[in-house]
Amino acid sequence: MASHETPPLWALKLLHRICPDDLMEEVEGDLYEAFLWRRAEKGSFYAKRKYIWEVFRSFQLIKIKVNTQNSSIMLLQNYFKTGFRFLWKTRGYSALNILGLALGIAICWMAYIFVSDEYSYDSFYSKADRTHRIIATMAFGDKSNLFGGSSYIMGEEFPKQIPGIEYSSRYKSGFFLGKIDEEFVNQTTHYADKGFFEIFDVNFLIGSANDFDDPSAIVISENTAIRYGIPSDLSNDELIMMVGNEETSFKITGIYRDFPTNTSIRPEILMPFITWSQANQRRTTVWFDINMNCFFTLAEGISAEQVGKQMTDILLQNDEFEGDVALGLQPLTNIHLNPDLGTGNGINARGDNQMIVITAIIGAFCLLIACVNYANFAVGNYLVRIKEVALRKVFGAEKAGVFKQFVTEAFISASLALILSVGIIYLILPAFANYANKNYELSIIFSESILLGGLFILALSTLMAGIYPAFLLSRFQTVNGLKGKSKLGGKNLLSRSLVTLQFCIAVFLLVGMLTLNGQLNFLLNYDIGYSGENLVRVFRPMQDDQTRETFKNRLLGISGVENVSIASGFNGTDFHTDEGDRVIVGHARIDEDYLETMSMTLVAGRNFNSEIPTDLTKACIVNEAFVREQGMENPVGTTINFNYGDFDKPTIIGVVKDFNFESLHTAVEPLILYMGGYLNPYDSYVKVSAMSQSVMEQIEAVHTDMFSPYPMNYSLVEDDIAEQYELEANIQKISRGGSLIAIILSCMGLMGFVGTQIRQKLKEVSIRKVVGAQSAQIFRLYLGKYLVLLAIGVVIGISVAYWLMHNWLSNYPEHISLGLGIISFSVLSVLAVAVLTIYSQLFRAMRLNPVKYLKEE
Amino acid sequence: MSDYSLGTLEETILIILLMQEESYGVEIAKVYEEHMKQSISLPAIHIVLKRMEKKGLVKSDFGEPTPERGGKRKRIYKATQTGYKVASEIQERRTQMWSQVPKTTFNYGIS
Repeated sequence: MASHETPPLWALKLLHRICPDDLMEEVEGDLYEAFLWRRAEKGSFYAKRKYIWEVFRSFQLIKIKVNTQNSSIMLLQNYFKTGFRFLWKTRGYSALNILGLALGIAICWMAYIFVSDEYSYDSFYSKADRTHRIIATMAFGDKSNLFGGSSYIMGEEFPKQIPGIEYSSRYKSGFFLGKIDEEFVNQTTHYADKGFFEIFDVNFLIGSANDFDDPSAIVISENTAIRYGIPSDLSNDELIMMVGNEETSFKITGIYRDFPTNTSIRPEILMPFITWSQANQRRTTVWFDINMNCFFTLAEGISAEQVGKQMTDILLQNDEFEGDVALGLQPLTNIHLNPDLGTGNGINARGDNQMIVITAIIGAFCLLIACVNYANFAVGNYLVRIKEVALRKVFGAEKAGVFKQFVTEAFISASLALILSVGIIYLILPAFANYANKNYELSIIFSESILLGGLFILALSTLMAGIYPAFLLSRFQTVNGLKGKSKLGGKNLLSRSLVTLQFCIAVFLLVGMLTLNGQLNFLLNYDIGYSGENLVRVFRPMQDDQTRETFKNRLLGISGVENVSIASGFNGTDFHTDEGDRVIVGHARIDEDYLETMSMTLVAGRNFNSEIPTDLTKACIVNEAFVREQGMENPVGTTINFNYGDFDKPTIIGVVKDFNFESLHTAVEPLILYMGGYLNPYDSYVKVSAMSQSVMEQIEAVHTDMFSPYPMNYSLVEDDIAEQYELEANIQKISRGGSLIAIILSCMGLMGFVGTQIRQKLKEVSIRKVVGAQSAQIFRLYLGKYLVLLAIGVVIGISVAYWLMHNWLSNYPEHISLGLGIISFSVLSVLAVAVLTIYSQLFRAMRLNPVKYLKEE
Repeated sequence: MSDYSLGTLEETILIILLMQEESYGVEIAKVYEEHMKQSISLPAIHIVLKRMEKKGLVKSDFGEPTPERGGKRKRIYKATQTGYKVASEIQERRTQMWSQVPKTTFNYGIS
C-alpha cells in the first residue's frame, strides 16, 4: 500500500504513547476506520489531516473527568494518604508525639468534663431560667451581710400577695432515724410544698403528689425505695421513722425518678411542709428568718428585681429592723457557684470556684503545651518534607493547598490522639473523680455535650498544632526546596518563642504547685490552739444536767478514757459595751474539763471550777482575740456587758490562748466561753490515751445503753480538722498531678526541639571536632543558645506566678510568704531538667565519629 | 432525574445510540455528521461515551475484529435503562416548553 493510503506511522506511535491502554484497541480501531471512511469520501489528504488532528485530541482521553467527582475531595484523600504514610515512616517519633498530644487532650478533656459539669448545675430544669430563691441583705452601717435563706411566712404570704409568682415551694432539710428491717439509720429528709413538683419537674414512676398535704404522706426517690426495700409497685407503702422518741409510720404516696447528679437539690424523702409547721408553730409567724429556702418560679416576663422590691415592701410593713434590710431573688442556676451566698437548709454544698479555675488552667496549659510540642516537631521535620512540598508546588499546588495538607496531617494526629485519650481518661478518671468529689464514669464521655466538647478540643488542637507548621512550610521557596537548600526563612523565631512559652508555663505551674503545697502544709501544721490527737467527738444533744453527768461519769469509767468534756457548738451574737459600741462575738457553753480535754492553754487567770457557784452564772473565759479587740489592759476581773438569754453580765476569770474554732480560712474571732446559760450542749469530747477498737466499742456500748435507738454519731477530731482542709488537699493533689504532666510534656517538647535542631547541626559539630573542639566546649556552645530561651521563659513565668499566687495567698489570714525558696527551687529544677534534656540530645553529637557525617555529599 | 446533568453533545450522542439501538465510534460520527450537518472528531465522541458510561447512562461491549479496522475490535455502546429515561425526560420537558411558545408572533415573522 502507498504511504498516502495509510495513516502516518508517527501519529499512530504517538497515539500509542498517549492513549491509556484500556482504551487503545477501541480508539485505534475507530480512528483507522474513520480514516478509511473519510478517504473514501473526501480524499486521503483530508483523511490524513483529520487523523493527525484526532490523535492530538486523544490527549483528552488521559483523564476523563466526570462532573460528579469533586477534585478537592480527591486532593483531600491524597492528603490523608500521604499524612498516614509520613506518620508511619517516622513512627517512633510520631508515636511519642501523638502520645504527648493524647495526654494533653485527655487532661484538657477531663478538665472540660469537670468545668462543664459544674456550670451545668440546675440549668436543665425546664423552668430553671424563671426560678429563683429568696435571699436577704442586712446592712448595719457600712457592713452588709448576705443571707441565702428565708422564713416560713415569706413562703406563705408572698405568693398570695405578689402577682406573677407562678409556683412556689419552701424547702428545708430535716433529720430523722429511718427504720430498715430492725436497724435505725440516719436519714435526711426534705420538707417541700406542692409547687416543688412543678418547679423541679419531678417525674413520678408510680403514684403522685396529689395527697402531698397530709402530714403522714411522703414521697421518696427510686434509690431510697430500693434502700428501704419498698417494692416498686408500692404494694407495701409503709416507711417507719423516729419522730421525737416515737416510731411513726408514714404512707408513701409516690416514688419519683432520682434527681440527676448535677443539681443542688437531691431530696431522698420529701415530706409536706405541714409536718414541719405543726412541730414548729412558734417559728411559723416570724417574718425575718433564714432557716429555710424558698423557691419561686416567676411567670414569663416578670422581673426578679420587681418581685424583690415588692417582697421587701411587704416585709417592712410587717416587721421592724434596726439596719437596712432588703429581700431579693437569686437565680436557681446561680446557687451552685456563687460564693457570696450560703447553701445548706437542704441545698447541696456549693462548687468551688478555685477548683474550677485551677482545673481549667491546667487543662488549657496541658493542651497548649502538647500542641506546641506537635508544632515544633512538625516544623523540625521540615527537612524531610521540603522536597515533597516543592514538588507539589511544581505540579501546581497552591499555598492554600499545601497549607491544607499540613492542617490535615495535624488533624490525623489529633484524631488518633483523641482516640488514645479515651484510654488515658479511663485510667485517670477514677482518681480525678475522687479528688473532685464527683461520681464520674467513663460513659460520661459519650454523652452528647461532652462528646461535643471532645470534638471542639479536637478542632482546637488541630488548629493550634497545625497552623504554624502549615504556614511555615507552605511559604517555602519552591526552587530552594528542590535544590535542598533547606534554610528556614528568618531565624525560626516562632519555634524559639514556643519553647520559651513552654518553659514559662512549666515554671509557672511549678511555682504555683509549690506554693499551694507549702500553704497546705502550713495550714495542716499550723498551731490551731488545740489538739485533735486521740480525741473523739460524740454527737448527742443532752439538755438535761443529770444525763450529762451520768454519761460523763460512765465514759470516764472506761479504762483508757482520760478526760471527757461536754460542750455546745459555737454560736454568734452581738452585745453593746457600756460605751454603746456593738461587738460581734462567738460564744459557747463548755464545762470545766473543756480546756484540759482539748489541750488548750490559759494565758491569764484561771479555769472554771464547779465548786464555785458564781462560775456557773457570772463567770466567763475569753480568748486573746477578744482582749485584743476590746483593747483591755487587764482583762481578768473585768465585767462585760454580754448577755445571752438569762446569762448576763459575766466577769472574765481567764483568758485562753487563741484557737481556731471556726476554720483557718478566717481569722480567729473574739470568743466568750461560759458554763451556764441555756445553749444545748451536744458535743461530747472524749480524750483517750490511745485510739483503739476496744475503747471505741466500750464508748459505743455506753451510748447505746443510754440513748438507744439512736445510733452513735462520732468522729475523730483529727479527721474533722483534716476535713476542713479536704478541699485544699484535693486541689493540691489535682494541681500536683496536672503540673507534673505539664512539666513532663514540656520536657518532651524541649527534647524534640533540641533533638531536631542538633540533628541538622551534626555536620557543624563534626567540623568543630575535626578542628579540635572538646566535647565540653561544644556542649557549652549549644547550651548557651538554649539557656537564653529558658531564661526569658523562666522570668516571665515567675513574674506571672508571683503575682497570681500572691493574690491567692492573701485569701488566707495566716499564710506562708512566697519567698526565694520556692522561686529558686522552681528555677533550678526547671533549669536542671532542661540542661539534662539538652545534654542527652547533645551527647550523641559529641560522641559521634565526625567522619560519618562529613562523608556525606 | 435531575441528578444527571447532560451536556448538549452528550444528549445528542445518547439519542443517536437510542436511534441505532447499538453503535460504535465511527458509526456515531457518521450519523452525527448526517443529522447535524457538521463534522466531529472521534476523541470527542470517545470522551463523551466514557463519561456517560461512568454515569451509568450507557454500557459497552467488545464486538468482532474486522479488516476495515486494521484487525482491531470495536467497542459497541448501548443506552441503559437509565439512559433511556434521562433522554426521554429531557425530550418531554423540552416539548412541553416548546408547546408554550406562542405559535405566531410578529417579532419573529410567521413561519
